[in-house]
Amino acid sequence: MNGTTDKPAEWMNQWLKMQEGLMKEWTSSLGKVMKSSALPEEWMKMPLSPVGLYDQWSKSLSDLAAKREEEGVGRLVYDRIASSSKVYMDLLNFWAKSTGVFKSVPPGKTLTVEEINALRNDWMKNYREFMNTLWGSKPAGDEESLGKTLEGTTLSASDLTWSLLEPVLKNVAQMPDIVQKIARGDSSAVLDLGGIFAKNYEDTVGPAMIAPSFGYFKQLNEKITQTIHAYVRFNTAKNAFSAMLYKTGLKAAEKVYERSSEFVGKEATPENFKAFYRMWWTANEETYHVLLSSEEFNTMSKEMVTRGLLFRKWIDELMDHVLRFTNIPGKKDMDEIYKTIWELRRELKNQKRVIRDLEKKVGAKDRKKKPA
Amino acid sequence: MAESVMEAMMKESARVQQKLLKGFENMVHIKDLEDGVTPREVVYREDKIEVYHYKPEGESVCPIPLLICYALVNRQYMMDIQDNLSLFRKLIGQGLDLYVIDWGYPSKMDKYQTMEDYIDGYLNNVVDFVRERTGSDKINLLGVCQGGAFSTIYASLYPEKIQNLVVMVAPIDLDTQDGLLQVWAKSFDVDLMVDTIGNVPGEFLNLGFLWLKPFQLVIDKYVGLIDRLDNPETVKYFLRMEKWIFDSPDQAGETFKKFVKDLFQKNLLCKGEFTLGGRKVDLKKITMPVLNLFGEQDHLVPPYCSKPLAELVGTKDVTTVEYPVGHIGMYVSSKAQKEMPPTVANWLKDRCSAEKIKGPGKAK
Repeated sequence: MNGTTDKPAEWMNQWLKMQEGLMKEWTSSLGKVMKSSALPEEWMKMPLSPVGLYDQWSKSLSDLAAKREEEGVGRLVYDRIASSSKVYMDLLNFWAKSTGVFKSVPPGKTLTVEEINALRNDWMKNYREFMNTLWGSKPAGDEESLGKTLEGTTLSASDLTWSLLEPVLKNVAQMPDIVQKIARGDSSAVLDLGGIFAKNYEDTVGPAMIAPSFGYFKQLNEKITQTIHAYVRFNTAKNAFSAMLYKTGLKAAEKVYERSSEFVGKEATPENFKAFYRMWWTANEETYHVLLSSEEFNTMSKEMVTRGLLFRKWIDELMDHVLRFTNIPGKKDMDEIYKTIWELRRELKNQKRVIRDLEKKVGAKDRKKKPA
Repeated sequence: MAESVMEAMMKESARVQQKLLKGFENMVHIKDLEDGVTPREVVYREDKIEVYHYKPEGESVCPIPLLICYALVNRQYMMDIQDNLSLFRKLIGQGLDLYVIDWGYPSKMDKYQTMEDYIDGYLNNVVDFVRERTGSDKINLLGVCQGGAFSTIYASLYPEKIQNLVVMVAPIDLDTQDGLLQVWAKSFDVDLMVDTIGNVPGEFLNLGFLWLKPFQLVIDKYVGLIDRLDNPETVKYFLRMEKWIFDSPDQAGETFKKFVKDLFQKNLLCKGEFTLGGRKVDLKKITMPVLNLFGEQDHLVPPYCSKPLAELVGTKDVTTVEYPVGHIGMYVSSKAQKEMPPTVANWLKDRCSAEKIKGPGKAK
């Protein structure tokens, strides 16, 4: 075990000070709630609800680790745990709200269809809010780095893309309808926008982007427009992929809603919340498993990865073209070097093997020649 | 009523905070953990690979050394993760003379490395090295996961150098529509990927593994740990596992391309049509005894990918052992830890006795 265990003495003092501050805020917040006999939902909106307080606390702890420049496997894994705990706490928040929604119905009352729908809509509205925080949570590491691998240097290209494509968006016939949906809080409408945008792009600006260019900068211009074209297509595929995941999340929400009936009337205890949490993640896992096994997922993920790779390919092409005028080697140059090294290394190993075999043969002959 | 919800929230929130704080204390100062716990000696180096030697403890049960060929995916120290959970330690404890290949981390320079370089090159060189070092004309070879497929290919190409073949969770028959990994691997354009980015990033493979059970592996695994964060031993074990899971070397581009195309997409090894360096790999040439180990709940290499090996090889001496565990459980579950090392040791012992080692293969 070679785990480093340097714990500075001032750490505990810093921590205690921070806890003291939080405790004061907690007490004052709790006092206000008790006096005003606020309802849970109102309290939940206050910055110092249990979940709000948790968020602050978690951030302070993370800041403290950053201040101490803690790095390494311990910090990395702690961050993953904290990130998943955030989802857990957000679900706790949602659970408290949904318990409130169900409890607003007087016991024994028979609900009308409209009332049932209203109840369901309230529940779904809260769930969508939770989903947004879930989707915004920091991934466990790999999704993030893969995104970086694929997207790489896209940021500078996005402004240019926007200025080129703005006219396309302005002419989208369905735009008013989508804007209305977004205004009503339907997050999936934002994702539908991606598909419509893609179609309009392909019908209008798209062909122009891959049209042959001419003049002194012909090659450079073509590479630039091809790169932007590849970026737009990658971005579209990425959005379509995200939309598919988000819509599956909504399907899972339906399943969670159906199974929530098991919890109606049950006491609000931490144990029941834990049971709710278990039901929530298993319902999601089941729903996503169906998606992951589907042809749709195969097609969409293949499309996204392929588009990402083609975008990367065009960036390399463009970079190679630009670097031609400098002394810095481009991808093609480096590939040539790598290949030569690989070939030389192989050749060297073959020669070594031949020499070793010859040495063995010579050794054997010498042994035979020597008198017993 | 409303207060009750609040109370439950506060209690749960306080519990999570308390446990996280303990976890913070127990883990955040740990910068790194060792790559394996059993004392070892580096006895061979070639490019980025190293071979470790683990001396047998107690009486030697088998005069022939055992070489472990791990996968290129992740690292071999999963089999030596912690003092009480080390297959390496238990194997040497059974009296086996153990050698293990550490493939290292391929860099961009290695993108042209082929499967031939790994099997005909590195693996063959290591086998020769161990044979020379120990004076054994033949050695025992144990291949794990992807290394199991490599070892199977090797044993069919060089049967004269292998006394016994042991494979563990080896992907052999990949003609299936059931396993998610197998299905995904069939559909993606590996040529485009390798031609564009060279080596395949370890993160990309890890993402694939996480997607097999996204909610369990990205959320619940960590939430489930909250309750046990105050136990330093549990935390250390968890950290070791996490380190291993995310310690994913990139895959040498050309090797990955052939592995995915020929094995996953075309299932050539199983069909008897796989070639390496221009030579056909005929599994019927595996005439030495074979021990095939796999987990019945393995979701990465499901049993139906490993099991058919018995029908494909040219020996009748095939022993198949199925453990009621998953892929990772094969390395760290108490069941596998307890049962697998003596199974391997006894199986080898029965096949290493002097009268079974014929001619030049006899141990010196």
